[in-house]
Amino acid sequence: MTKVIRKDGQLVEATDVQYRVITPAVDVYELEDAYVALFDLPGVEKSQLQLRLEENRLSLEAQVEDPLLEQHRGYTGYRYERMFVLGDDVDPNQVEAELRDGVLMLRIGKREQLKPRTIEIK
Amino acid sequence: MATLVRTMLPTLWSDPFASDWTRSLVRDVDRAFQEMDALMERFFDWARPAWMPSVEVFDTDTEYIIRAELPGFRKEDVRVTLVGDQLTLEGERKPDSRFEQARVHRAERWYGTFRRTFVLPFTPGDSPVEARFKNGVLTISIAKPEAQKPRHIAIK
Repeated sequence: MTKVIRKDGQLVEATDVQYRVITPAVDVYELEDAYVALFDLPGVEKSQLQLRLEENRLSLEAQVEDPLLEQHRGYTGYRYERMFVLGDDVDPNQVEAELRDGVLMLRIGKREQLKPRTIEIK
Repeated sequence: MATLVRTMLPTLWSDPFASDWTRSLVRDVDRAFQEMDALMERFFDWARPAWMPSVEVFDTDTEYIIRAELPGFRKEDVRVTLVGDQLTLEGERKPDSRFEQARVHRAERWYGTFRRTFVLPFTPGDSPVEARFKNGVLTISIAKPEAQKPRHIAIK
């Protein structure tokens, strides 16, 4: 990949220069049986969003081409990037994602044995 | 600031041999600072802006485009008003009621009302103005009147 020098003097890959990189804001809530994360991703379509789970690392990436930014600001578009390390109490097999109106809702279930249980008294 | 005065004058404050006059002076000064504190707090509370959505403005040859990031909003939650050369965006984002009882681990997103006014470089008058809302991005395109469009002058 071509290396170029950015205005601040840093040596970066050419592709990094063309996209405005944004760390999306997130809210994380804990429910009884799951964690829910809400990410602000304005402008993102389902097809542009990539969620990857590797071991306990969850990464989010979304790249949006933006003709207006390209014409007027010199960027090809913008890219959202964020990574999370999941705790031991979540079950990586129970991840649900829903993108609506520029907000991603991620629901990650808790491990079975960690859910609060009511013990019946005999 | 009142706390500062109290720490600056610890001896006077606690000295059992200080005269009544000194004590009343210290009390008055302390009260004055307390009042100032309250006043400053009220001022900064008033001066603190509510949240503002990110906005990008593009000035093209044929249109003036205002684009606002409003993730989580629906069309009904936003109002766009044009008066003369002033365009106002306002709306409200409410927290999701499903998570009212949940334990909060991170809260980086903003909620509440916003209002933002832009003064356009021209008065649109009857020019077509179009607002579109998609994936949490509001795009308002204001067509430029003929007189505002750039004219290219041929060099002889």
